Amino acid sequence: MIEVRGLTFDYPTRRALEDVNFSIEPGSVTALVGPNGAGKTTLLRCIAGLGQPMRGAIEVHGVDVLARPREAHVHLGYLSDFFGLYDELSVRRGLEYMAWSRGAHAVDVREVAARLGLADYLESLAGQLSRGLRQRLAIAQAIVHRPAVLLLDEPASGLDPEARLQLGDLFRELHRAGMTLLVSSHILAELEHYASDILILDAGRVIDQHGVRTERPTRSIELTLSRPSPGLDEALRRQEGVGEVHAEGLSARFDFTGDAAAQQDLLALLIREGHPVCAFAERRDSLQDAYLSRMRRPS
Amino acid sequence: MNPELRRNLWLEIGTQRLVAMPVVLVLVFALAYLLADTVADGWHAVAVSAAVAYGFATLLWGTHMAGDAVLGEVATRTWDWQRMSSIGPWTMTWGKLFGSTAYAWYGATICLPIFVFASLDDPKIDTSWWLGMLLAAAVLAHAVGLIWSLLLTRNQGARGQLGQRRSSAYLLLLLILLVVLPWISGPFQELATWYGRVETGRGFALVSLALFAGWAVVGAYRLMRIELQFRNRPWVWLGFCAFLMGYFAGFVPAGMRLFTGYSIAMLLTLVAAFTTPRDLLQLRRLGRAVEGRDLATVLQQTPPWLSSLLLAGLVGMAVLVTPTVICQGPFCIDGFALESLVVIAMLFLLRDLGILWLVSLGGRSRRPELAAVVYLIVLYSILPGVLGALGIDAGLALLLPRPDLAPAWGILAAVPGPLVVGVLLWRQARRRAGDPQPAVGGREAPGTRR
Repeated sequence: MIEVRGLTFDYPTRRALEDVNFSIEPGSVTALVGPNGAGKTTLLRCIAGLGQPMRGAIEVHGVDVLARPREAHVHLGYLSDFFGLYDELSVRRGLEYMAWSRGAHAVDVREVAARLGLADYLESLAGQLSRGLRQRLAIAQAIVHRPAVLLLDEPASGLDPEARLQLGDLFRELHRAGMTLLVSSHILAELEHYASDILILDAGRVIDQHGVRTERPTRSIELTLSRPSPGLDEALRRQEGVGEVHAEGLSARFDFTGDAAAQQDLLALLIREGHPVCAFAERRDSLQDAYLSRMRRPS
Repeated sequence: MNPELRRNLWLEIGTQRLVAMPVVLVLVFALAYLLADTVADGWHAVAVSAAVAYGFATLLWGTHMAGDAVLGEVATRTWDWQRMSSIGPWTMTWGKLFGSTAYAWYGATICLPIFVFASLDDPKIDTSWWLGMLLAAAVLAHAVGLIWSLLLTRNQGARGQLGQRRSSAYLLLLLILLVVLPWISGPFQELATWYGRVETGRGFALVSLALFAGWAVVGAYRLMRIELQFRNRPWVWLGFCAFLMGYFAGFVPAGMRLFTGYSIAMLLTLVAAFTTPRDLLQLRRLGRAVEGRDLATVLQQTPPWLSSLLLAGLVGMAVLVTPTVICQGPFCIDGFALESLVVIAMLFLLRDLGILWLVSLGGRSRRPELAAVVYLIVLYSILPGVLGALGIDAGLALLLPRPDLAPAWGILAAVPGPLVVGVLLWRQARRRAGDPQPAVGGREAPGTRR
């Protein structure tokens, strides 16, 4: 759905993106993460056709963004991190303008407003809305023409926890509706709730891209003891499918290649051998763990 | 309906404003009529007040609104929404041109019929001519306002200094009025000699104003294309240069026409250099396109100032090789060598462009254009004044064009200026040569050291 090849973007005194290559599958929700100044906003603006790169090619929904930006905009929705609204227009008129300006004349803006929880505010002026409602209106404006791809730059910044939760629900709904989302955010715990892929950008380069929920052959198991058990390390290492064991205090972590039945057998064995196991479960790395682990690794 | 026009109508035309405009105007016209001594004078006063009210509504208020059309969007961070739309550049241009000024035009639609009705039997007013002039002047002023707005938006520095720069739109407005008013009340009301033909001044002024208004709309459209990520080739800009060169050359004797065209091309080079961003990245893209012999990209990346500089160079060479160049009437100065002036003027133009680029690349000035103007004022007037006062006349030729000297000396004296600026610019450019530094992310990019 999004193809970026050899993208290099320069500002007068520094290079913001360096030979960026990646592709994003249709219907995915990709978390775009990276430290401050990594080039996330520049990348999103380039994909949105708002910046002219020094080199490279960008294709969205089969349209060359750099050669035919206006055509690409029909398939694109973009919400900037610092967006503005037409404060003197009502919600209804703001949405109508955005739909018409993207060639979507047959759109029922009431439906879009209802989807974003704005049905009761259709005749309210945008300037009179709360921050959370303004954010929703901005997202409604970005999706009112039903784009195939939605680009969001820090969409949750400044929102209260409840509004963030609702935002996550909305993104899941858009994902279910088949929209492809590329979301830049620093709040990885939130991205985890809806992201299917992660794209890590650092110093203007893509340093990693992978699926968040990719099934791996090795699982990480974490167990907790109720009291110290000196022979635990040895007992674990003897078992088939157990990899390197990291034990510390009352807890231990190890890689395990066995399936769920083998995991059950292992637990039963440990208890039979008298190890006081009080917790035994697969440990799933959070998005934050994956990100930090990748950032600590040398490129 | 044009979505941009409709949005502007929503914002500009409210019930209260719809009612207020005719009420105020009717009161103004009634006052003008009642203060006159006779019925005929009364209708004359109404016609004049309608024209003046039209001027206030369109030339003052309308130009202000057109000047704010894009700058306002940038300031309220809504411009990206518009750039992300699928509205084409022409639709966006006329939507903004007539949309942002909708309320001014609403006032105009009241003033103009009143003006026509009140002046029809007035022997002192040429109704149809005034009507044409008023309409063309408004379109010209609004289009220039929109051009101003787009130019400031394009300038990277303007994005951070909008509050300070917006006020300078009023200076431009003043400039427009200074240009337009002489057409309306000045010498063109009598006769105009253009390419040896004597034209009625009024007709000539009307056609001229309409042509300039047309070019202004074309200019706004071309700048809108750039904002909407289209890439312009230089032909339209060169066409405008050729138009201005041809237009103003028509007012001078035949032997001076080519040199007048040369002067106009040089002036336009400076105007383009001062009003468009000095974009090193664009020059880098241009350099790569030249290396790769990619003609299409070369044309797209050539900045307007460079196009008109090349045009000026070509016309300058034509002046040098044309044997018919003569010195006539008021355009002649004793001992004036036109050929040496062509070379000297080009050298001074290169020096001035170099100074502008030097200040812009230095990055220390928030307003490099203004800083460059200050330097040029110092070089062209203050420093020569000081040298003159000290009696050091020999140094003046280094600072001011001296075509009155022997050609070789005049040209030789003009060389150090661009040479020194060129060396400084070369050193500045070398410091920023090659690819820019990598991004300043949270840690170093692979294989790089900050």
